[in-house]
Amino acid sequence: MKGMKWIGAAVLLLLGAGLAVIGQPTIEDRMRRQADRIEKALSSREPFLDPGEVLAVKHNRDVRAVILDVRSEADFNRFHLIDAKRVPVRGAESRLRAELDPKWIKIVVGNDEAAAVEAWKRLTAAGMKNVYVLAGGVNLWLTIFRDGNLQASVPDAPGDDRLRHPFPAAVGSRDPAANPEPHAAEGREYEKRVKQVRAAGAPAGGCG
Amino acid sequence: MGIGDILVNLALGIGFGVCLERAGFGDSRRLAAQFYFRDQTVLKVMFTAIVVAMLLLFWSSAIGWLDWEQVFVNPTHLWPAVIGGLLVGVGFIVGGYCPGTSMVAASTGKVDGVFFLGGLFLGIFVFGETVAGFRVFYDTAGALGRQMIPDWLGVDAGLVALGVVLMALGMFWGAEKLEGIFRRRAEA
Repeated sequence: MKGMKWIGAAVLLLLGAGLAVIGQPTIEDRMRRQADRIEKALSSREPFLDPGEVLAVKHNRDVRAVILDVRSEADFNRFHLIDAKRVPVRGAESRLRAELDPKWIKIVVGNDEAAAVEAWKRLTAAGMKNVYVLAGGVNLWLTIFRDGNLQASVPDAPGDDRLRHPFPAAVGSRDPAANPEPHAAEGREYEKRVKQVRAAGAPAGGCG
Repeated sequence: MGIGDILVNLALGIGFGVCLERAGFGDSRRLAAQFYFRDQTVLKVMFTAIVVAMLLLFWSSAIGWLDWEQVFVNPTHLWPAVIGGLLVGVGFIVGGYCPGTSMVAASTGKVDGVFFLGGLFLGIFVFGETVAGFRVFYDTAGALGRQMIPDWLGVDAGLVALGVVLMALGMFWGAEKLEGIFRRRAEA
């Protein structure tokens, strides 16, 4: 009996030490493992929200939307959507996942789409739910809500992720386009992507 | 929830109950002896189960069989957990059972288990009727989301797993020493 205890302890120790040596998959490992699913979702543009839908979601009192701005600090200071949080995603995936409620709608914003898509991939691989990308980025947002080109379409090419709209100063969210009226996108046609998230019941646990 | 989910949950529940019963957890004297350091079976069995489950989960994740990030982890609600833990602890010492073991005791026909189970359902009813009065505290006090020790410490989960194994082995060793000391005292 005593011998069995020692064998059991040795097996546990060996398995624990093995885990410490090989470690857990990194975000990059997970992205590689989920590459097919991620590419399928991106090619069908499943996670992309039209600016019109982002505006609707922001004004919808039944859902909570969080804008995660992945642009440089300079571009963020120049202009950002109201209540946006500037978040360097790389290395912060687990923290963001812990902080942001799974039921909230998370919208990743770049100047165009490339940087936002990269951040979306990392957050999705980290297991974050309800993450979307602002289609066309801040550039398309400004074309619609600042320039008034309501039917501007999402560019086919991913873009170079530079802010192409000039600002005389760093206005942040003080520009009217940072917080358009709820009906500012009326007449714009787009396909709705956000799935209405119902409030989940209180989580349960137990000791047995 | 489909019939398949119900059957799987039922099988897991019955299996869990059988394991608890076979470990002797249907006996309130054995469970209470834990708190007097005379019998550390509860600590040894439960901690062994935790360590084995942890190693299986993280090994499955490490070799790509399981995506750990898709596994639901109860969000941390620090202060409600502290208060709830204290209440369960007091109830455990006074009543001799925790919720699961009272089910095991009741299902094997033990009268104290049946009474404890009655108290458990009464407690659930009282909680359900009064939770609206402290809903804000229940939902928001110390709400930290999905908190994991590796993220908190900024180290790989494998290292934490090794630490938990070492802690468990140390506790098993210490528990057996304590059992010896307190049993001798009880017999003297």
